[in-house]
Amino acid sequence: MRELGELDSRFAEFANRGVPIVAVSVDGQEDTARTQQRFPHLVVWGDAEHRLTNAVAALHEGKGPGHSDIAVPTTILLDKDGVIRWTFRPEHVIVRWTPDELLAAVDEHLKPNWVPLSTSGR
Amino acid sequence: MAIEGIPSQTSAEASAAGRRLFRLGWVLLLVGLAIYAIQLFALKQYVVPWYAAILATIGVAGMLVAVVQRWTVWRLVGLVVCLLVMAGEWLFLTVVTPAPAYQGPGIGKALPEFSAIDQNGATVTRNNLLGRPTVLLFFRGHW
Repeated sequence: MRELGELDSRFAEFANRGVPIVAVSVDGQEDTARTQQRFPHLVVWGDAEHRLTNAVAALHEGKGPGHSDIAVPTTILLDKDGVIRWTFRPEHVIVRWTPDELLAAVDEHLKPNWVPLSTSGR
Repeated sequence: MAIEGIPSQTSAEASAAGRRLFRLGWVLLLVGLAIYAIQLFALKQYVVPWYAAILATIGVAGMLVAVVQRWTVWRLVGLVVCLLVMAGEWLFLTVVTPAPAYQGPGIGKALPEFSAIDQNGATVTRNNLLGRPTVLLFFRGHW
């Protein structure tokens, strides 16, 4: 979850590019609400039934606490039509991009669609 | 056994060399862990710390030599502790943290239909992602 804090603190740089950040985990509604409160500039979704996580093959079965299922850290850039323009999956779950690297990927793959967002969130 | 012309290593010298080797083992192990902690917490660099496991392995090898040269209970205990830390590091890097390769929809493919919930429990679908580009980020969640 550490990457969420970094993204939340640099939300304006994504908002200026018109790109909201939707953060998804397999948490239920209670934990999702807690995470949303903690990172108010992101959009936090819960996927306890794994429908979205399975749709992009991002489920790490049995690798969560108590051998529960958990999401594999995965980043996908979508264009305004919901088409995948870039994906990133680290070779190790402890690896993360830096916000600068993610911004560079956004600039490279999504720039033509830019329409700045309000900086208050989605 | 002394060879003529070459001074033999005395027991005291051998003991001092073993101590140095043993201390070096500890230093290598701790330096690897310290560098990773600095990267993780101070520099926010989330990398795979192969160097820590490699340094620990070199350190443990040195400690093993020191124990074989002259073993004491403390050396043996230190060796076992470092061996466990080293094994833990390798286990962490080769078994616990590797992620499966991405096998979801590829570049140029539409994100499949789905449903999930927002913070209020309301259903969200693919339609909520249309109309503007989006960073869709999957994270480990609340542990």
